[in-house]
Amino acid sequence: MVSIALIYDIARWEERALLEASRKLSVNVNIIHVKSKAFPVDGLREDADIGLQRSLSHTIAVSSTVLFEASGLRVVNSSKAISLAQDKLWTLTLLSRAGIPTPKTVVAFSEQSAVEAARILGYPVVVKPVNGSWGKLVSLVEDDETLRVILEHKAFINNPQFKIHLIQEYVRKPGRDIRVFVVGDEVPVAIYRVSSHWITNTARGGVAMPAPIDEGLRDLALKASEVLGVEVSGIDVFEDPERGYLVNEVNAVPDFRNTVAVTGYDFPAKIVEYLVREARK
Amino acid sequence: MPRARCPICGRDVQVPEDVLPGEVLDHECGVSLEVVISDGKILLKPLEIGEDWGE
Ligand SMILES: [Zn+2]
Repeated sequence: MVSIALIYDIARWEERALLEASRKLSVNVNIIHVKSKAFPVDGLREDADIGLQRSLSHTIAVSSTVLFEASGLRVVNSSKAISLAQDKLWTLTLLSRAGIPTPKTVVAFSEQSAVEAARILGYPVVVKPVNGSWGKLVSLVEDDETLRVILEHKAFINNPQFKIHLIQEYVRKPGRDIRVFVVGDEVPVAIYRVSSHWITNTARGGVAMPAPIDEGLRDLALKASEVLGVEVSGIDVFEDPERGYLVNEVNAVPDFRNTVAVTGYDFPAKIVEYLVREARK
Repeated sequence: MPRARCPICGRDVQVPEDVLPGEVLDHECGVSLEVVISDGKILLKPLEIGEDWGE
């Protein structure tokens, strides 16, 4: 019997669903709540054939994956893939270099250059920190004055990550964007996130609806996953009226509760089946 | 069913038999609570999520 290490910090609907899917598929799960104990840096041994990283905190996700990988456990996603995906600058540069269309983005290391960048791109612009985990600090900015206020506010946050600004063109998407799910070399399911607000994240009120997956979307999602080395991911795609699909972000620990609810697709089972196949390789 | 006390409103919280450490429980008072299992005892603390990956 294959044994999966479920590595997580906070257990939500998704982790319960993964446990349930494992039970149905007769897969043993070794539950590893990373906050419940301390781990030795050397000689760590977990009784599992493969690990699944589900930590909500990006920092914990990367660190705990490094730890388990050092013990010889193969973890999905790998520490490298999670590190690349959680860093928006890293993600966008790698995607661009691989020829994958992305929104026009400029990085600024000071407030002054951020303002210049916004003027060059043309308002409105989206301003975000480089680390992807702070969705609440993403702003849509209409003019110089508002931008300066936001940057000054960020200057007070005592975290060097907030001193690097990604300034991005505001893509005039059609009231929705697409979250495409990838598992291995398959693209099993996608949703539209529909919202009258410019942030379509379902945690922020975006409504999920099933989305069709055409050839172009499938190829783009697979290519983006391959570039970052993610095996299980949720890829955020914008539809630009002129340029077509643009990849905006890659999530290495994707939520899927709303996706399962609106599509009926058994995504947790898909993940567990993938892990079993990989463990047997 | 195990019980624990809500740190916000002080009322009882019903905890599932198979509760997981780190599990999120939504209480009737509207707060989300994180399960902490310490020396076999179930404690609840208000859930604080700073970082998230989103859907
Ligand atoms: Zn309460």
